Order: sequence, then structure tokens, then C-alpha cells
Amino acid sequence: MAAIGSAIGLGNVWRFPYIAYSNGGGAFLIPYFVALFTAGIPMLILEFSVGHWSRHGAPESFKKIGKKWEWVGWWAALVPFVIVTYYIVVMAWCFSYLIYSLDLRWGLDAKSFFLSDFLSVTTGPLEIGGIRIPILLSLLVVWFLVFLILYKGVGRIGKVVMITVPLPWILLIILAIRGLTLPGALEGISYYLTPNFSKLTDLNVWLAAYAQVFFSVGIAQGIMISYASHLHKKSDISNNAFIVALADSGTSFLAGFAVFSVIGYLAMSQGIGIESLGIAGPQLAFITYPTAISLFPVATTIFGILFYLSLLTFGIDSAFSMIEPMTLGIQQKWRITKGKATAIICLVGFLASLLFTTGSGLYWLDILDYFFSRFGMVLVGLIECLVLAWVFRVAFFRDHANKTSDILIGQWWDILIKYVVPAILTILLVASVYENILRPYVQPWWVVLLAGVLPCVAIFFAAWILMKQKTKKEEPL
Amino acid sequence: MDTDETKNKKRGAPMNGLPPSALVMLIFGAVVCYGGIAYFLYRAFKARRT
Repeated sequence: MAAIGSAIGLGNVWRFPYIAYSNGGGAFLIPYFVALFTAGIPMLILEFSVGHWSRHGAPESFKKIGKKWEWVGWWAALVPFVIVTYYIVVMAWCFSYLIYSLDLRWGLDAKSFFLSDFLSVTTGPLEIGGIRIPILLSLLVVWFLVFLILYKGVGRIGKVVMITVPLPWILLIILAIRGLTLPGALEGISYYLTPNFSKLTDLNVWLAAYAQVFFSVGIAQGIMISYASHLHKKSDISNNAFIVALADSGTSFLAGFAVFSVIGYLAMSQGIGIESLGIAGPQLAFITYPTAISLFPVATTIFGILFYLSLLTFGIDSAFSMIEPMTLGIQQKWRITKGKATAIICLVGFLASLLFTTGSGLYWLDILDYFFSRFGMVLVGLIECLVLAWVFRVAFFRDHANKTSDILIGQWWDILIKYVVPAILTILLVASVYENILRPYVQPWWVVLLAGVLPCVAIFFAAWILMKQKTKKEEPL
Repeated sequence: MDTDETKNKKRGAPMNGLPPSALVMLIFGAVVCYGGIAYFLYRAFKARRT
């Protein structure tokens, strides 16, 4: 349940529908499912097997494979920890907007409210601007919530996910039903699902599908290794992997209906084309959707509350799962209590999050997200695959998974992990580097170095330093 | 050449139903996602019982 909650996050709502729409509509489902079954699920089985076998978090698991590979585990734990520092800020925005839904504070000009009144966006990333107090207060609330959930350990996480996994699903179903009953909804759904099969010959569409699966399922972040380390010895690894991956896809698919039905309504109400509306990322959640909510004929406040509550509950599982690998890592390295490890990590995370509460926060969030999702995570996934499949023996993990699984995996899985997944990740990485050489994501070029390359290199060194620290031995009882 | 579907999209004309191709993709997506979840959940419960 926790793994499902971790896989399902804000990206399912604001990334998948847009990616599907811009990569062939309904036809995108074909490369998407191919990517899910050839990369997403095999990688999930691999990470579940590693965690289940080692009974430790990512750093200790890689140490068990070979002492010199411990840094890979730390790297895998550090990447989601950096991501969570800005991910939680987006959740803080959702929390603020949940309160603003009560009086629809954004009015009819949601764009100006979001960018000027709420964020006070500066002219560029180098003009930092002051800390926004409403965002800071929301941030404190969200970090405190995450701390409360995590500090007691797995037992409390288990109880929390019993609510936070089904609740956003129920809310999403309500939102989708409400959206589908609005005028113009069918036009929106038609945009989302009408297939353009000619796109299937475009390599970029296939790369987008693999990237979407890779980022959405929650692999290469040490998360699934950490969660699997708590699984029961007889837990069915393969079946769990299939359920987690398909639940994630099912949520994304459903979210498309909640998003595009409302987008269709908004386009019809304003008499403009869907393509001219912002349908991805923060723009969808904080500009397009609030605008549509304001135009609803009835129950605007309730609809606003439901939408932001669903985003918050979708995000909270992912947020604490991104912190868990790091807390488990330092807890097992220095033999400190869960509470102490969680407090340290949450405090460091909160301080790092402060940058994103400033007027330039939106720029830094965008830049870091771009580089960590395109380079950080892909690189971790690639190295993880190479170490586990080539340095260690991939067949070992297959045997381990098969020992407890109802569905037995064959040698095809070894081929996928050894050749197919690394090849795809290498292509993704090379394509991103090439794209940035041709057109740097941000200008001037040194901002790319400062905000993109430097943090990626820094966490590599941080992982190395953490590996070199002496592991405290377990005290005898 | 524009099909009726794309003409409708450009005009923003209200639609009476989803185009058949969109309907096929809807069924395809639903069967793989939700049919898949149902199947693997069924296998999990069956394995637990035996």
C-alpha cells in the first residue's frame, strides 16, 4: 500500500495527461504500456528483490553487494531527498490553495494572483527576492505533518497510507464524474484520447513514454528498496510489482479524465482552443484549474477543496517515501533512533526548502526539477542497473523473486535488466545532454552549471563522503 | 486533409459523443490498467487462500 502511495503523486495528475495529449493522444497508450512492461515493472521487481533480500535501505543493500558500491545506494537516497525539498513546497502551495478555495481568493484572474500576489515572482532566478510568509507557514505545516507520519516508523506509515492512498482516488473519481457532467467535457476528453497513430513512428514519443514510466513509478530513488526491506519474508515480489505499476498507470489514466473534462469546459466557456490553455505542471494546478473552478455553475468552493485535497493527499505519500531512504540510511549507518534520524532529515530538508519560498523559488524549482528528473534519476537508474546486473548477478535476484512469487519470471527479465533498460536510459541521457548543448534549458549557460550540473555533482560527492563514514556497529543486547 | 474530428476540434463545435477511435483507446487503456489490477489482485488473494 505504501509503495502504491509512493508511486502515485502529483505527476500522475499534472504530467501524464499532458504527456499523453502531446505525444499522440490515445495512441500514446501503446508505447506507454510497452515501456511499463519492458522497463517499469522489471525495474520494480529488481528493486523489490534487492530490498527484500538485504532487509536494509539502499545504502546498506549496495554495501551488501560490495563495499565499494555503497555510494550508489547513498546516491539513490540523496536524489529523492533533493527532489522532496521542492516537491514539499508545491504541496505547501496546494495547502495554501486549499484554504484559498474557501473564498476563491484567486478571483477571475488566477494567473496574476498566482504569479504576483501569491508567489511574488522576481524577474529571474538570480534576483532571489524575499521569503513569502504565507508559503513559509504552509511549508512548516506540511513538513511537520511529514515528520509526524515518519518519526514513529513503518507502523505509522502503514496506518497513514490506509487513508492517504484510497482517499485521493475517491476524490479523483468524484472530480472526474463532476468534470464529465460539465458542458464541453467531451471535447476535452476527445483531445486527450483521440489517437494520432502517425506519432508512433517518432522516436521522441517512445522516449517520452519510457521517461514517463521511469519518473512515475518511483524507481531509481531508493524508495522501493527501502519499502521492500520491510516486506514480509513470504511477500509476493512479482505480483506486488505488477499491482504497484498498474495502480500508478490506472491513476494517471483516470486523472486524464478529471483534467481534460475541466479543460474542455474552460475552453468552451472562454471560447478559446484547448491548445492555448496551460495543461501541465504548476500552470494546470494553480492557474488553469482555479480559473475553471471560478466559472463553475455550482459548488465552486467544494470543488476547489476536493481538488487541492486530492493533490495534497496524492503528494503526501510520495513526499514521505522520498525522505524514507535517507532516514533509513542514516539510521542504519549511525545506529540512531528513527525519531532522531527523521528529525535531522526533516530539519535539513526544511532549511533547503526555504529557497523555494522566495520570489525566485519558481525558477529554482523548475530548473532543479528539470535537471534532477532528466539527469539525476536517469543516471542513478543506469548505474543501479549496471551494478546489479553486471557487477552482481541479475539471475540471483530473479531466483530470489521467484522463491516467494506466484508468477515466475524467466530469463527474459535478465535480458531486460542487463541490456534493454540500460540501453534506454543511456539514450535518454544522451538525448537530454544533446538537447541542452543545442538549446540550454536556461540562460545564461552558467545558471545551467550552477543549478543543474553542480547539485548533481555535489550529491555524487556527498554520497562518496557518506560511504567513507565509519558504520557504527550494532550494540549487543 | 482534415477529418471531421479535427474540423470539429478547430471549430470548437459541441460533440454528441466521443469519436470511435478515442472510444477504442479508452477501452484499451481501461482494460490494461483496471483489468490488470483486478487480475493481479485476484492472483494475490487466490495465493493467500491456498
